[in-house]
Amino acid sequence: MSAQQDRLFSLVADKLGVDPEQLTPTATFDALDLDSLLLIELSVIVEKEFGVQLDETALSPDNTLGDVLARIDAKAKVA
Amino acid sequence: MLLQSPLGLVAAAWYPKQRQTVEEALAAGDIDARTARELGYTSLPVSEDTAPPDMAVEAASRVLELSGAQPADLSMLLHASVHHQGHDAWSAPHYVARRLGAHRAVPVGLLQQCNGGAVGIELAVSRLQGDPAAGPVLVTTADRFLMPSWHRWLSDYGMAAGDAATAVLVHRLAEEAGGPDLLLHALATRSAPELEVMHRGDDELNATPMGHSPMIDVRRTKRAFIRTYGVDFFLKTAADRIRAVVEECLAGAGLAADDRRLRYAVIPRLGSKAMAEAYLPPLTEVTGAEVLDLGRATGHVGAGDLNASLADLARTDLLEPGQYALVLNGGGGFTFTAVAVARP
Repeated sequence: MSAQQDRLFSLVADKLGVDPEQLTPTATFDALDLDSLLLIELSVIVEKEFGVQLDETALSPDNTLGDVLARIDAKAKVA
Repeated sequence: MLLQSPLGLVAAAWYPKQRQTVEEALAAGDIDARTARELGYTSLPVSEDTAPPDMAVEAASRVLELSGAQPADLSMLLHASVHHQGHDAWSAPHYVARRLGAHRAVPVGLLQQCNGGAVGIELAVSRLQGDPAAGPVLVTTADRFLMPSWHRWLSDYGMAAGDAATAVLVHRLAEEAGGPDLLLHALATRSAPELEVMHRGDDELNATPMGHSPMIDVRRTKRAFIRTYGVDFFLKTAADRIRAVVEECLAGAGLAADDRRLRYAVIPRLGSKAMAEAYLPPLTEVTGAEVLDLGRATGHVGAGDLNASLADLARTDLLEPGQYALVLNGGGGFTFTAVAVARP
């Protein structure tokens, strides 16, 4: 598990109230019960903590935390 | 607010025959399966041919017929709405009054967002209690949500909008020949103007109607709100006000939280998930009355959710004589109202 993943999962559990045991890179937002409003909060967290802008309107219930990690990793590589 | 004595209510709603089922909405790509599940609606009424003020006249005419009240005796006509009524720089309430023949009523429009119909009842009570000479007050609501200005499934989070009109006659007892459908025993309202930004977001105030987007997009302003304040700020503020109005309303009606006479606690017509998160926790914290959801086949009917539920309570046998219902509502701004009514 990467440090970025550790940090993201910890934030999702603490700030969005998702059960840590459910957190895997392949878990969909639908499976995690992250609805449209919580995805807005997720995008705020990701922007604040990782400096990555996520357009929450482009996220679907079938997207995963792995998709978010890919965006964070992509920014890290560019940097 | 304090009611000096119970007032009578006669209530009816008008719905168009045309409906869009949730299956049709899914097939048309209006919503995805998850959103449909979270909203929990079965269908929405669609009024393509009848404009809101004409819808209000339909509901009002039914109430006048049921009550036996004479239009010329009405002292005030309060018309609440959320969206476009059919013309600009024009008074829909005056149109409704003219069509009903309520020539002595003072027509007033309530742009109170989704709690407008409920506040209309509060103002009606004020009118009747403040002026002993005032005749009955008619409260109407009417809205339709058509493209291109409003997408009934997508313009907002947590609800889908149905087209409907409601009418509630508020009168002193023994004033109407037919007798009331319901007795209004208590009404409580609390506001939360700190939540005004939910429906404005970061937008500047501009000079042209519909200038922020060609389609009403409450999702956009709510995203801006959540980015700044978070969902919890809304949930905590709403819970505080909801608890307050429910407690005040039950006390005003002389009902204990677990009073056996309190048959139902009726909730607004928002999506099921939104109500489970925002409305049910504070409501069920205060009272154990059976929760009644009357909106799955109507959707959220703009300014008229509470009034439509009064119409359902009035026109069905949900309440037996002597039984009470508490009807709860909320609307952008925000304002929360609870009323306590009983079947005579």
